[in-house]
Amino acid sequence: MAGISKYLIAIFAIFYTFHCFAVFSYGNDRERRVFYVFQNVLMVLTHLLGFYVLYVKTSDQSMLILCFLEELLLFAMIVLFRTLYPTASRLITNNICMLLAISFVILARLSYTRAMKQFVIASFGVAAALLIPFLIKRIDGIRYYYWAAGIAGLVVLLAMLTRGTVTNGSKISLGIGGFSFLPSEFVRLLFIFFIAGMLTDEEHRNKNTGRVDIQQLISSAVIAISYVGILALCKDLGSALMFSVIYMFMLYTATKAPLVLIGGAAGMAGASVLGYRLFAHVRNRVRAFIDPFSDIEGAGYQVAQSLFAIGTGSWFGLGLMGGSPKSIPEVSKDFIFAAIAEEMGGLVALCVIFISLSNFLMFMNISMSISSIYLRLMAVGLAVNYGFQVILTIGGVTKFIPLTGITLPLVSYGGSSVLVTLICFSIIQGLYVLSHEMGDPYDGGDRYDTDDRYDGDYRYDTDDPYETDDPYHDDDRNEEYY
Amino acid sequence: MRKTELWVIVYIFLTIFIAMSGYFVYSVQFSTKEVINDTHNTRKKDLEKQVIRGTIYASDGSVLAQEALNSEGVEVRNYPYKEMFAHVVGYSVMGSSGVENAADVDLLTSNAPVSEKLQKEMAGIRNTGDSIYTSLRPDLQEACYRALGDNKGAIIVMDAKTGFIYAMVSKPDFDPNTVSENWASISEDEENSPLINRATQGLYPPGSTFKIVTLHEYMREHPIDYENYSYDCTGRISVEDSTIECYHGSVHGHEDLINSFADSCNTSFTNIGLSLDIPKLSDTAERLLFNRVLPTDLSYSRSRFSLSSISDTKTVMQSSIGQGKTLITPLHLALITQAIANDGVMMRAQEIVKKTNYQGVLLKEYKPEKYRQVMTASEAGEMKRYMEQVCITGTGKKLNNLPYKVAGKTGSAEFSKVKGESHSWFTGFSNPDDPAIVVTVIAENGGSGSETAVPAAKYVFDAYYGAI
Repeated sequence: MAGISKYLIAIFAIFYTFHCFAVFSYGNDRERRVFYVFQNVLMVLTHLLGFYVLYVKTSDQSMLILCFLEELLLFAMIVLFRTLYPTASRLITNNICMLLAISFVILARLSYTRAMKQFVIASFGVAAALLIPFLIKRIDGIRYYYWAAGIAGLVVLLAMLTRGTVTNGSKISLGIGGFSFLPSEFVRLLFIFFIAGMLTDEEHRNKNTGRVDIQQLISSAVIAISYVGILALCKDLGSALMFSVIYMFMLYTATKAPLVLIGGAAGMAGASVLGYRLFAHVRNRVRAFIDPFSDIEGAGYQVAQSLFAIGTGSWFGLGLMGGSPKSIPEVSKDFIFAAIAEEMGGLVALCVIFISLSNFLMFMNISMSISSIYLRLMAVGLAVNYGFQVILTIGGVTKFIPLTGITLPLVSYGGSSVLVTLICFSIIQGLYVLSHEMGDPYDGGDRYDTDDRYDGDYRYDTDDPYETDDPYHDDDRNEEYY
Repeated sequence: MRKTELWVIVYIFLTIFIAMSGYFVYSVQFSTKEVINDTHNTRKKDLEKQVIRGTIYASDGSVLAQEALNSEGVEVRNYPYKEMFAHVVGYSVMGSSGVENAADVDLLTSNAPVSEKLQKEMAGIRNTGDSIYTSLRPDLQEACYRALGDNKGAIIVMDAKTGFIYAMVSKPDFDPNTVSENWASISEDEENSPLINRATQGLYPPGSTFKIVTLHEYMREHPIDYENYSYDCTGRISVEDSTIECYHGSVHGHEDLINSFADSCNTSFTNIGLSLDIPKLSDTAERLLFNRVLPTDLSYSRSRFSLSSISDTKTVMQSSIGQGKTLITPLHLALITQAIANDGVMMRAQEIVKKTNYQGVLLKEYKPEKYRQVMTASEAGEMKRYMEQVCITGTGKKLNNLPYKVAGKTGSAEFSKVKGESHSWFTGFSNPDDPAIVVTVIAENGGSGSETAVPAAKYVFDAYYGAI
């Protein structure tokens, strides 16, 4: 049984992922609900089977306890979220749980203590996630205090610059009372909140066109550049890139000016060249990207190990406990994807990519269904934050792009990461719930766009997402500013 | 209001995600093999826990390497021929070499029938890895092994038309069955370096075998009248304080081109070398793959040739008879010989013929592969005629009057200041009218080519033609 479990896990993951996309071809809510439950079953099976293998291979009974606790947590998440927020997206909730389930299995394989810690923090995260959509409705006025968020973020980053601890040449963590945490994940949330408030403030907007005025644009750019500058001084260039990209896409959404994207891309290309000239560790990473095997004992070690792991694992993996993922430095954090590919197989790893893509598409879909431009901008910021983080980490691990040293949301080990990601997801869910209650007619069940019916002809097909023509109609109503 | 800007963002990210997944799929499917095969990949031992390493076979079906239980019931890699195939088949502990290295991933991948694989995986039994069939012939390998005797050096036997390797011996050798037990002594033995495959990695001065290149260049520079060349050998030639002498002070007297080559007349070839257009000679050497990558999967060293228009006269004189800074591997010399035998077409040097699953179901067949036309067919034909002369009247005449015909070239490569100490070379092929096999021999410190290398080559040809 343990021998063929890797094939079963791959099959479960593929079925699960298939339904992330196929579910939209079922117009009927009742049909969809069946598929969401089916997804839940697949998720539970993946998790149980993974732990079964771990138990057989390690004969460690504490694995069973951890497995039971985690099942409870996933169950609670699904049932409570469904009960408290019947209008929230079930697909997003399912995806959170599936990614957590895969993460729980691979972390338990890598380090039992880390898996236990991750479980505890994820529990807090799930609790927060259950609370946030409820809070969002009631603290709406907070949007006008965006300056406070912007300054708070800057202060935290300055503290990190002056008092942060250095890891691998970058200052990325801050110790408070014995705990060390990565503030840049939290600061990204503050930043998104700040920029969304800034670019949609009525007092600074043309009453007729709805465009934000130039003074506000310049202020937002100055603050954004300060954030990126401080991060560059901390030598945390991955985060600096994240902030730049988030700002660029939020500004583009607010101004609708293609020039922002072109200018932003050019600016970032220039900054990359500058970073390459200035920082030795950037040069090392680029060298390790071009040919990790030329300096395999040095700069290329991590990427080379990761490629060995992915290559040796091939499509079905070496099976849990069958490989040597621990030979990859930072495997439970930045390189968790390689560990999944090595032991659970390339197919499961590919499913992780597509589940993440499904999340991003859902985030963007939600942003389209929101009529308030402030909330929409928040949603876009969170979507880009999530999507780009996935691209940076998986791209780096697979040598698609140079390594930036960033975690895979919901999957990597790390308290700050899992907590912040769960908060992001629940904010999105909150925005979704809120947009329904803002007066949009709602008839229950998930849709990419609540305002429109599906055209029967369009099918959202996993096999080739390129072919997906616009399955949603554009919303023809004018945006409301509430 | 249209949400164009949101769709733009969706499509940008969608594009990146699809490109990234595509790249991931590509790297798992296609670039895997060379990545896994990297010697730094410690995960091969993980594969070994799940797959029983496959078997390597010789062309007659006998086993060259297989998994077996030793007297204590522990699974070990067993090499029935012990030292004989040590370098070409290689070893798979403490890193890997030879076929064990080149086919590492194949040997550790099981293409057994799916139902059987699943059954075994369910039962927790390891599957059996795929089998590798080589072109190596134990009869010829044994002949080479005996022919080389106690000499340090190497012998390569290759099919003259296909480039498939029939035998490859390097000495000193080691027993691959006990590599890990004796690792310290064999890996640190710097005097004998038994781990080095001298056939592919040994760099030696080519000595007179380089006259093949010098002659070829002279023919190209004098396409019409090279037959009119003549020279009076007095046993020595001096230019600008540099002197080159014929081997062991012989005096060849009046020599035309073909006899200069057959007698391996150093003074005559120094004279030819001094007349050549040096940049063109350099181009010709590189076209014949000096300083270049060789068409093979075997791990080899790159041959060196460094003559240019600024080289001094002494270096030109030495280089034209294969001394100086020029270095060549036996494999490279065998490939040049093979190209001459094969109407100028160099083939890829291969030793793996096919891959099957452990039950013998064919998975992949390796066909002979043309590398390139390195000289025209008529040029090759003339070279062939000159090389035949070597084995009729020249330094290779021990190969005359046999049941088979041989064309070749001998060499005595001086490697130290001591006069008379030289490596003994022979490279050639049998049955020039329809070439059969290429044999290349080097015996370190074996004296002149005709002393050691030619008799060794004869022993191998005899074995091939059934004379022993």
